[in-house]
Amino acid sequence: MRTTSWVSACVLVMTVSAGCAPKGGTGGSGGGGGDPAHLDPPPSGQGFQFGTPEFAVPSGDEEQDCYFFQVSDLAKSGGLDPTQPINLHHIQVAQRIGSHHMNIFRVKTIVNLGPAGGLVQKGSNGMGQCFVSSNWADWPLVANSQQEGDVDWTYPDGVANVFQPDEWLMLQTHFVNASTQQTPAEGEVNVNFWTIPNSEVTAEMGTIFATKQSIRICESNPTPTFSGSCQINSPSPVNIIGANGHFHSRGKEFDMYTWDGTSITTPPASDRYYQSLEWNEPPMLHSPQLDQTVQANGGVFYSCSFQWQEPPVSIGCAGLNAFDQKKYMTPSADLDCCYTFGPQVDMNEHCNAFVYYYPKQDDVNCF
Amino acid sequence: MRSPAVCLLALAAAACSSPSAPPDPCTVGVLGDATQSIVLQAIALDPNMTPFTVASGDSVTLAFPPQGGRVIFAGVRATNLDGCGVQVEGVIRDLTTHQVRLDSRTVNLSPTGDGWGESDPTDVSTFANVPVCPNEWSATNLYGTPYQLELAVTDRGGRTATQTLQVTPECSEPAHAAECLCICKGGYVLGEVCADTSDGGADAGDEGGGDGGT
Repeated sequence: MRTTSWVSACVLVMTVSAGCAPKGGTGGSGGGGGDPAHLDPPPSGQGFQFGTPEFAVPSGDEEQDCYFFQVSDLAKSGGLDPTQPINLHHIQVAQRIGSHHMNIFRVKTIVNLGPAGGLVQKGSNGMGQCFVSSNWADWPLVANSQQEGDVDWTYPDGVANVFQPDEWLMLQTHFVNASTQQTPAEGEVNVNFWTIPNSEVTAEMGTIFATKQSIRICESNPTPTFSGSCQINSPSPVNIIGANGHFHSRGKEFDMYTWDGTSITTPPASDRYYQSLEWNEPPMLHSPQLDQTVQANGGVFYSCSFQWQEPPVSIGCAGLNAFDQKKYMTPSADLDCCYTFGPQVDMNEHCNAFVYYYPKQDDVNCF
Repeated sequence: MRSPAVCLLALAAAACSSPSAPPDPCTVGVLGDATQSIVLQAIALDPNMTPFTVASGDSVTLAFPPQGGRVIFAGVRATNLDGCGVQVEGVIRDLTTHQVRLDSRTVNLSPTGDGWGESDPTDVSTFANVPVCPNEWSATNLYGTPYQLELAVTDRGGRTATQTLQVTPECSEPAHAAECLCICKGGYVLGEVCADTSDGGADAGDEGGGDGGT
């Protein structure tokens, strides 16, 4: 594993541009100066700030970049003991307009993407390892946001997401400047982690990342629904305190339900705790408004419904079919102007559920 | 039946004939005799991605899908139903705890010319991608142990049929066996370092891996 510190890497790689170097805090939160990506960092000893420098997103492009940070470096930058765990209790995210998503993951099994390959790994228009989701298939979710990029969430009293000093985090940004979404200026993301001392932690937070990737929204099958489940292996009830769903512009309805772990039909409407009917403005529910109890050994049932649409003229069915053939090796006879799984918003679709709960049993990824 | 006069009046108001419904983009139509009960057979893909009819007691492959993890590609062969917009659900159930993992999806069945239709073996999205591993849900190994496989189809008219079978999942893809045995074992923890993941890992990162972000 690379030993170069994050701070020095930033100096070397990005010449300490705005948003790269950790900022010594003077306190406070919230944006200022008219820059939607601006956040005042936490005061020294209470947390730290990390993020990206400004970067260009040319017209017609989608930029997806992966930034790696070691927890001990981040702790040190915030005046915290770099040898001790970090107890994340309050997270703030601020982004420029044009963000499609921002995800933070804990780095686990390295496939073709990791800090040794560079602390900043950029990708454009579907190309590059930062676009290959199987590279982070077993990396637990830490935090996420979508188009409406601002997040300001304090977990319930005593709840913390705990990170060990030697852990690495990956911050992944996706900015879009294409037909269905635009980035009018440079992209930028900043994140604040506010911490609490060990003595105040009463429960760890766990996360669920569930995704349907074997999906096709096709002209001859124009209104498909995909459903799945994800179990929290807990002998006691847990509380879901954060949830949001993610799909692209063919997405019509995203539902999440609490689930008993044994039923195979869609749970009753009374168990639905999340619904998104707007692909570009999905609700980002979290505590205190969201606090939903899941029974022991239960979990989450989720469902994505789509409506096929004519693709943008610049892509056309020919473009969708070409992608389908190249990426999925679909035989010519099966080409059907299908939107398939992938990151590019004009020609691909998603069905991803992000869920946060406590007390943690395991972090859970469901494919 | 409306009189010509009424029709003429109505035509003048551009409302005589009801607006024609857009043509159904699915051309599969009815398979078999829709007045009869749906008949359903469970099929699955073997390690060579070849479909076979599943019988109780059979082994089924824990397959390495584009999205990662391991799934059972569980499909259907069915007759006496509308073959368009069929909801296919596949479920794996722990026989001891009754816990399940499931996948449900809307597909058009491929006609086989004999009044039946089936999941298209060249398109894994027409099979339920039953998500078995990583094993974050069962205390026992998910391979070499009998589990219950449940298949259901529901057509656009709401008619349904189910089949339940006992199967034994196996890590039977030689190129991916080591990672399969690790991430499907009882007690696996997400992110756990597997002893040898070079098989699955290498494959997961190349063009065969599902790309995407979120």
